[in-house]
Amino acid sequence: MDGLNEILSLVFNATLVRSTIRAATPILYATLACVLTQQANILNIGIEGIMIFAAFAAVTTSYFAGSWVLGLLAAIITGVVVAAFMAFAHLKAKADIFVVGMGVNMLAIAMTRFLLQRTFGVSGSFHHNDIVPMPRLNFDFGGNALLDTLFNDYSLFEPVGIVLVFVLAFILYKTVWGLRLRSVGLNPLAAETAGINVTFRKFEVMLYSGVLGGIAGAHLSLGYSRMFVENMTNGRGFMGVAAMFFGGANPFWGWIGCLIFGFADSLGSRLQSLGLPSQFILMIPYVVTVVVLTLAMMRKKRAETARKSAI
Amino acid sequence: MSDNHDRELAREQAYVDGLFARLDAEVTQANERLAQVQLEVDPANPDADALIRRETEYHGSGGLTAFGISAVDTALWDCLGKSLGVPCWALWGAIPGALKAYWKVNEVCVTILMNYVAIYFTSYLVGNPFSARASIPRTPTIEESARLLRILRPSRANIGLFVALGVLVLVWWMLYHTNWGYKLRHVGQNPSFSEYVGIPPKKVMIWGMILSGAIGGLAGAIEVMGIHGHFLDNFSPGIAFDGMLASLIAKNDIRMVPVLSLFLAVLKTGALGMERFTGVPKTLIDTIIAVFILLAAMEGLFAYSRRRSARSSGEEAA
Repeated sequence: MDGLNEILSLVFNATLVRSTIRAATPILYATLACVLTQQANILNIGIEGIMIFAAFAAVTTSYFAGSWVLGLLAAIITGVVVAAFMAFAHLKAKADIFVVGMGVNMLAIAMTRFLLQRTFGVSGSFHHNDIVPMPRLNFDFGGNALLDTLFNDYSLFEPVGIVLVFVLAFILYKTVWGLRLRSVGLNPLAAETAGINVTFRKFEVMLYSGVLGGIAGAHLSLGYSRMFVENMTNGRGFMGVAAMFFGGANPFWGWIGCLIFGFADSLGSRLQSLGLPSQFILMIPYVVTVVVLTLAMMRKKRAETARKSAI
Repeated sequence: MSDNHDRELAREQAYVDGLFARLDAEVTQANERLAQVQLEVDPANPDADALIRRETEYHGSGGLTAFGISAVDTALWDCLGKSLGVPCWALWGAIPGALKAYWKVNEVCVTILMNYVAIYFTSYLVGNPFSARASIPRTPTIEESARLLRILRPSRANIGLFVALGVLVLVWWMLYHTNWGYKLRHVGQNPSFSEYVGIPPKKVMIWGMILSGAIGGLAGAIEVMGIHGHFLDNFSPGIAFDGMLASLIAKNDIRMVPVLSLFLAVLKTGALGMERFTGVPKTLIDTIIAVFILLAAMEGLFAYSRRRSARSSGEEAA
């Protein structure tokens, strides 16, 4: 019994909260980017590629310019450029968004790998002391250990992500711009009739989603870690898409989804110390994502059926 | 009202039963082919492999799982024995299919995440229960008699190439010359209408994914039995993704599949030589392929592609 208590207290403690938030943040930015485009009825499957490009741009700029701000800016610009290309291909050149998204994902992996070899002469991963990471937030709580673990030492964009959730929810549901955007997604013909330029709106949100994807990538390489690794997103973009579906394109519920995935991730890494095979631990976030997504869609389906039979 | 419904149900049931019987026969057939292949022989050429995966992609939504399946399947294939392989790969394909059909869960998301699950799971199997205790994680080498026959030595080509061509013809025949293929295409274009005229879209979707999974499993088996002779941890360096790309470029036109598979295989093979002799990283080729796909996808970009877009716009509308 004592042994069990010991294990439980080892696994569940205050640091679990912060490691959950830590693991959830990169997914959260991807989710928000997807939420934004999904509201205009575009499934941004290329978010993974945008993140990889942005992460590479952030590391490179931070290394050469010695400033995380410039790294972040470079990441955002890269994200916007990639997103603008996707929007152009989808809206103007009539490419299937799924094909473009997957194409961008493949391009991102191949091209960053190529540039990594050419620029730094390394393959696999690049880390160097000259990479300037994002600052960490520290407050003085008078040495209170619990408050220190809970609220200190967050990377800058971890709290910013949480703020963004509420900002985005406000913009989508409480402003005219948000209403128009949602109408574009719900019924483009009606929106067009009401005088909204549908194509322009879609283009616009793709650019914003590029900004968010850029922040996601910069956070991944300069905040979450301090290096660039080939394919460093490791499916986080797709988890973001899953979280967006989980939340039904609502930023708040999408955030909850991210926290669930982040929780599964950080719980797994703790269980590793108990001697489970590492591959099963690494599998946990992916399995949880698929299961949670399925449960959410089942619930949605049931709600829809109930609504139909009520009529 | 309820009589009507019952009758409809009964009819649907009868139809589904028939469909299942036929599919069973088909799966068995594919299985026998594989068993035969395994009995006879040995090896795979990248082209052949690519071809197969490409076909897998043909089913549209299905393809990504191919990678995962081939990984899981092959682990089981040479470790646990032949009988387990079939149900395993088919089931792996069935999961996203069923999720998509019943709850509209996005299949791209699920299949990609399941790839990671498959990679880690096989990595565990190879590392622990089935390890060959070698310096790199791999399973013991399979029996010489179970390997695919090599052709054109010293290349790694093997009769997997002919298996691939056989599967290509089989898939083409199934899609365009059978009742089942017609229904599959029908469901792909308009599931609601299919349901209305009495084709159960969910069942068809799931079976499409299961078959797609089966072909993916075949690809994995050929890779293992033909080229490596053992299951290497994470052996497939994105071959399935190349296959998906080929089908994306072909815009699901099966006649283009062999041509494009060959094209990609030539690029990839050439990349190795290019790196060795000129020092240009072979990742450049991957970049070029990705750019190529993006350009191919942008139908409205060039005037010459209008003819093609007119033909495929019907598919896209679905």
